[in-house]
Amino acid sequence: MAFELQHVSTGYEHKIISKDVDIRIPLEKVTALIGSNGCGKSTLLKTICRIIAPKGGSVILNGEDIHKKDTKELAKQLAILPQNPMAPGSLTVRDLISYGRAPHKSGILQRESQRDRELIDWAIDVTDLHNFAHIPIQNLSGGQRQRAWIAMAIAQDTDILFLDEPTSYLDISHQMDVLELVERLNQEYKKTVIMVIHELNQAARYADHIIAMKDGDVHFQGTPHEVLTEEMLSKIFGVDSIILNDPRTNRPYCIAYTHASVEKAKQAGGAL
Amino acid sequence: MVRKEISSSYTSDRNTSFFGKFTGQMIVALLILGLGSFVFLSVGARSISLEMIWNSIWSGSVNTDSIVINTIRIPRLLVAFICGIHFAVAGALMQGITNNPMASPSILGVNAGASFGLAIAMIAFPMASLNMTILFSFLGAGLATACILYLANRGMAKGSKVYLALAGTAISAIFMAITQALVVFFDVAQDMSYWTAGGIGGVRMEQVLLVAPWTLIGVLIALAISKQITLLSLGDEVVVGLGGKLTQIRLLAGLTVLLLSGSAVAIAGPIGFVGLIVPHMARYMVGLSYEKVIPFSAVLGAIVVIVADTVARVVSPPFEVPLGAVTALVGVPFFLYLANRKEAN
Amino acid sequence: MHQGRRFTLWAIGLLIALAVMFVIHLGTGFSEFSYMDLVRIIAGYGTEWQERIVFDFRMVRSVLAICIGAGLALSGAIFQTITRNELASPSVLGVNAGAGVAVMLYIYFEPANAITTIWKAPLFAIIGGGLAALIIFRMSYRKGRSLSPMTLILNGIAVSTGIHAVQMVTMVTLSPDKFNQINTWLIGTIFGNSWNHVMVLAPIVAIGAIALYCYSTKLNVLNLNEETAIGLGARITKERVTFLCIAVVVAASCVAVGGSIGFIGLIAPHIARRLVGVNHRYYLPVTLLLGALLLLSADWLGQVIIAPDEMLVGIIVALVGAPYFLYVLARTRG
Repeated sequence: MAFELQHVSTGYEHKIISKDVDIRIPLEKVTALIGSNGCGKSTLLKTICRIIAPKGGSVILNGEDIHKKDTKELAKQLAILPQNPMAPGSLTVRDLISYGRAPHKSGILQRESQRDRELIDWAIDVTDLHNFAHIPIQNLSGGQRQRAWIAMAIAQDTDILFLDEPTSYLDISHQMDVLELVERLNQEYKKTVIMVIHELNQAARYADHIIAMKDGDVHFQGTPHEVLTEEMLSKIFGVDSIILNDPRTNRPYCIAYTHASVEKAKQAGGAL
Repeated sequence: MVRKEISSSYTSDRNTSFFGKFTGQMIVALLILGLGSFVFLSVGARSISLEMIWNSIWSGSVNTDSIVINTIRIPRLLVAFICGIHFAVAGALMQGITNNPMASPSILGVNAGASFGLAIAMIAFPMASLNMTILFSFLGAGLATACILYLANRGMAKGSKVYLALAGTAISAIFMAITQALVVFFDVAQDMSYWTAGGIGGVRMEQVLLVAPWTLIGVLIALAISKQITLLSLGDEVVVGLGGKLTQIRLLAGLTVLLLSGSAVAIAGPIGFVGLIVPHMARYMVGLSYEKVIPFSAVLGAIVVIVADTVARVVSPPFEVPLGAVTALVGVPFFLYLANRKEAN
Repeated sequence: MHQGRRFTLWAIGLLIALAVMFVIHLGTGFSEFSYMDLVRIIAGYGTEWQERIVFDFRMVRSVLAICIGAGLALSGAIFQTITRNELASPSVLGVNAGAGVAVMLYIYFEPANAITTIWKAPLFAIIGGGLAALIIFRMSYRKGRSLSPMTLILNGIAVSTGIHAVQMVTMVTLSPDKFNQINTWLIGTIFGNSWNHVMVLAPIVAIGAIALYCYSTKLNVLNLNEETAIGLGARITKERVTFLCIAVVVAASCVAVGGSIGFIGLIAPHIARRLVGVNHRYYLPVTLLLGALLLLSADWLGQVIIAPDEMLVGIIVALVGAPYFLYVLARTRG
């Protein structure tokens, strides 16, 4: 089972950003999309999660083209956290999270069921928002607000979760909070997470599968060890680098340099 | 975006001689104005030949036509000039000092404020002289301007050009509602409706002579500060960088706007959109330097108003369509274009 | 739950206030009745003339004020939700102007007294209001981009101004009778209607209100940004259009009966949000009650403020509404 993109071309209005992309995204894993600014990773993510219809090709989940499926049915399978989610500031955290249950409701009046309440409480639990449940989201800090949005997405109770730059605008400790949460959702609840992320070392640390893009095309995909290489950094980002292994996590991490300083660093390393 | 246009227009200035091109444009505009004036004088409930017009102006012959020309149409023509000049120059000043293409006396609520002042004058001093009403009109316009400046300084306006226009509309709505309530309350609706529709029929020569000095003063001040306005339109940082005095220029320009739009509203009612469109046309034709934009706007404004008033008189005789309605019909599409341009957001 | 309790309190409070205002409104008018008289007349013990005054003049007016206030407030709330914009309202989005010009053209081409044809005026108003709203939405909508709130409002104001200009051009050619009829209607007044008007308007408002309440979950989702709403399974365009249609029909019917009363659709939803928050399950009922209460009070004020003369209710509403609009604008961020 996997998410498959077959010959997908996508873009906005008259502008094609990605052409003929073929990728395979493993289920029950964390996948990270990386690449330079404006390389089309957000556009590709939006195409995978059906916000943008592809110009050609198809996005296949469980043998079905998702762009041909009913959007409400799909909302029971995939949840999306966009880059800049917006809601009226006076909305309380619990109300926001309860909106995640919308796809599961049918008919008129649509009261909260027992199952709805359980899932909302669980989402509040997982994201550690007990103390904020009845506070308007405009009174939350950036990190808390991001957790509230993630809580809404997981209250949707889907197997697959799309996160578009979930750590942008957050400081390092809030970034870690969000990524630890992603890891927990994946390991404890077997959720598939597909996220766009800028910080390469975080991608290498938390993702099982990395897709590296440049100018709309996918150039590298595979495990962190396969993708996070000196070749990739030079090709995708145009920087020279040194790749090291973090012995505690057994994941690679990189230190990027300009060309001249990498030579110097190597010499210094040699001297040691 | 704007800055780029400005710099390119400056470089093109150096290539062509400053006075050569601009003088030519000005002469053409004045010629059109003269031609339009004759058409203006000739059409109406009674059609009068051009020859007759010429004779009645220059020779003292007295007959029905010359009486119509001298006592009805010439004052009306002069008022049309005055309104055009006032609203257009006021609009150009506002667009310059706010650096906002959507600014103009009608959209930022100045006209509505002036109407409010007028209503107060009508109610409190029914026998007041025109100068007295003009004073009230100034005060009303000043009140509205103070409101808009207060809102503009709340930070948000600096980011969004659209915001200021919205705030102006809200201020307009408030003043219009209060005016409406007052005129209904004190039963002067009939007198007032004449103004609010914006019409320049039935103006007498004495009124023209009373307002004319304001035109002179307003335009002279505008010309005197035009160089500084050009700097302001480049953005605050540039002005400060060049050692300009932001607050003084703004204040002086603001007062001039009050003077011009207040007196025009007092005599002709809130004629909308002239102050919005004309400066744009002027900038399109003579570039972005306000030393040229302001005089050119004045002439263009006069042309636009006499054309609109001619249309208002001939479109469905024997009725006269309110002048404000004609300018709105032309102005609204233009306003929509401005609001929907990419840069507006 | 904090919110639930707050909602219950406010709903009860507003209902009581509405009932009190209803009685005060009934007791106000040219002939004086004591409240005891009023009770007696309503119970059926009054003279025929008294009954006629209370039922056919005053109660019609009170009930219509409630219907129109509720309808305008409700459609204002919907406009604000689907545009995700606190400044949207039927009048700002051109419904009033469109409905106004349609009814005016109808009066213009119809022989005298035609406005008494109960069904026709609302129908024309709905078509005119709907067209205006549609034009404004179409104009502000850019493919692949989200609806810019500020542009939408500006387009609404501009199109309304244009429609008013057309109206002025036409109005100068009207006979004084028709001119006065239209002018009064344009400013907004609830006076001079019959139970027939109630029979037309009340069901439209009631059905609209119930339908919208039932879809409050969908409305909640539409209040989020587009990408999130799609993620939650909303069929954005379809839902927006559906809710827009309901809101236009309700607003235009109200305008057809009560004239161009602005600002109720702006203020009521705004106050309601401050009272009970943005969850539509609470927010819609409170908006509806507030709108009814506001218009009923404004109409009462219009009757007493310069008695024995009467101030048109549209002016009263504008006097309160315009400063409130400015206040909302001043505290809007983005």
